[in-house]
Amino acid sequence: MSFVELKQVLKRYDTKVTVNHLSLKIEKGEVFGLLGPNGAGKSTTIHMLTGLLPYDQGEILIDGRSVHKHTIDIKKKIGLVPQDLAIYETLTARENVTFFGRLYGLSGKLLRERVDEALDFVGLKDRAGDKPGAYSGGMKRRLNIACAIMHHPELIIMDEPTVGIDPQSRNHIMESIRKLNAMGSTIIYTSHYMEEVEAISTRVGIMDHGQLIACGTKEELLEQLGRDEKMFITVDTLRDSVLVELRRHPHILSVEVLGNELEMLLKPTDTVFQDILFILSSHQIKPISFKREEPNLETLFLSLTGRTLRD
Amino acid sequence: MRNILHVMKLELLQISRMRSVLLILFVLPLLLIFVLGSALSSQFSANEYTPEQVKLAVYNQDTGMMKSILQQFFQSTKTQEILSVTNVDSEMELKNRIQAREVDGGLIIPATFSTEIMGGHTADWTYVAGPTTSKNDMVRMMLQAFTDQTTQTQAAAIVLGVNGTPINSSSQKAESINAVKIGKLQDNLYEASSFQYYSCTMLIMFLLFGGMSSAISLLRERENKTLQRMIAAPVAVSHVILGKLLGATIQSIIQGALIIGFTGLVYGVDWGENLLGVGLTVFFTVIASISLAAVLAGILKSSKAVESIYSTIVFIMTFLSGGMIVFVGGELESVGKFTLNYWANGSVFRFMMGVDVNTAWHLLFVLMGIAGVLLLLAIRFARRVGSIYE
Repeated sequence: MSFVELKQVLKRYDTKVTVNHLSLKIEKGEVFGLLGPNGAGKSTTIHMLTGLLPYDQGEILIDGRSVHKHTIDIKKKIGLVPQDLAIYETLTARENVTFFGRLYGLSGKLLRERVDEALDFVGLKDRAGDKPGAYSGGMKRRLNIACAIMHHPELIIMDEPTVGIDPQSRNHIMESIRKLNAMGSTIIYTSHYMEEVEAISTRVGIMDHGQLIACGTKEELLEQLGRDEKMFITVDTLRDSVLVELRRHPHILSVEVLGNELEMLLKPTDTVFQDILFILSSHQIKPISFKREEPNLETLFLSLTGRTLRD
Repeated sequence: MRNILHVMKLELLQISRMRSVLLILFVLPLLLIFVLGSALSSQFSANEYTPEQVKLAVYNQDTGMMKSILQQFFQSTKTQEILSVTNVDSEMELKNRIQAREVDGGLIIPATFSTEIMGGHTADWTYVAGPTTSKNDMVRMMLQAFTDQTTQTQAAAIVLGVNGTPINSSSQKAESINAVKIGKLQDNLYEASSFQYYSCTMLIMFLLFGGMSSAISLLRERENKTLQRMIAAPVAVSHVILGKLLGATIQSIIQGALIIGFTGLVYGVDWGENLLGVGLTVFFTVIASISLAAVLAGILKSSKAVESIYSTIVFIMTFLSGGMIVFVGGELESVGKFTLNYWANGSVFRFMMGVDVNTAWHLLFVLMGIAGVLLLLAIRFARRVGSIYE
């Protein structure tokens, strides 16, 4: 039995389907990276998992129990790190964590210990008496995490926890996630930063249009991608007509323009490179440099969704 | 239940940390009571005020029907309480008497006065002002009231087809012209002092503002995403809302107790002996206020919208109920009945003054009814606040 299981889950807003018969299994102890462009249905999925939002069809099981039927019990097992900073500016860091700890049923000595532990874990113990207004963006993000982990949740859901912070705080958060995972928590992690997902996830799921379009370990996914490769060609000039012709080519999966550089995802065949050179020369465009890149999750994402992660 | 208390404590803790809110809720009402109570105390003076009699010289050139009617008006008992009339024979004599300060003003009635009135037209007279403005104003008002009423009566007689039998010369007619009405603010206020009156009205107004802060707080939880975090914890949405409203209720009750206690001790406001009645009125005003706030929080989407709409409603209700300017009868007082303040102010005020207590209880029961209806509406609408999707 998987720790988290979504079975044919459907969610509609009026007539618009935001999560479309989504099925997914996450094992205990995993760090599962959930990727998808904006509007793919990630946040809705997270809200359904945490019991914040009811689903219309299907079933979500956490530790074998239905989220719909046992919402309050399931919530005790989950720690949600929301995308937005959900902390009180009028309270100190310690008061923030204490308040949310009380909502999870902690009290007395245990509550005090857990609050200290959580603040220590995110590196804010020395600033526990300060209000968030005196914190940097990264410190606020860390407090946002502390409020979600003080009750030792079995499942931690992090919705873009590193948005808009400095590299030092990002590293701290990434290290914290590894530690939490090592301590036994299962983690679902969404991010717009592909390198973060690649670095910490044991498995990755890619969502688009409310559906899971790919799921597996990084290696499995890249296997799925096949031998598609990314090529960068710098040219002396660019014309729209050449882009149209390149995009028509059956083995060129996508073409992006970055200044005078063409970024292309290719199905490597014997002739595709020659074809590109021919198309360029037929438009009197002179290539200046070439670069090939090994396939990665970014490539896969582009290949599957036709968009970059930050679109 | 424990979670309701946690949320309630959080609400109180947050309020206690917001200096601007503390100032508005706890200091501003005391300041306003002091300012209004001091500035308008003369209007509330419980002493009898009888206007000084005005000496008026009258040079009446009119020889028509109105001459005798006017004479009767001047000789009527009510008029004589205010006016002492001396007839003079010329305009010159009239002016000389004013200059000599023998009279306070002079009235010149033109020869056409009766003709104009009998024709249903506006009649003109000339008033020669004396040195005292207040006396001049008083005479002008009385004379204006007299000519307005006689003109209207005659115009009505013409329209109704009884021309030829207009205003007759019976003394009853002249007496019936109601040009003199002496009243005072105290007629409606049971001898209350300005501090008592404004302590009462400001108490109710600021209790209503207390409700606004709860509505804003509820919506800010949603806007700041802390509501999402709270209901991601094992807490029912209804407990979160109930905890917040309970916190606001306690804050309002503390606010009410502080206003009553402080004004009693420092300003010497006598809140009367029926503190149970006052306390119950405060309690049900708070319930009505918080319920109204919850309804608005359920209907409106942003805390800013609630702030502007709710504060406008409270100001209008306070004004219409006479909370800022005391109304002595009239249409505004009737309109005031459609406000929460009218019932709450009326109830507290009568309990405070220890008069007309049966009416006070009646007003309180109406207030309870309003609070009950608003509470039901709040239960219906407040669930919408719990939605994390705006």
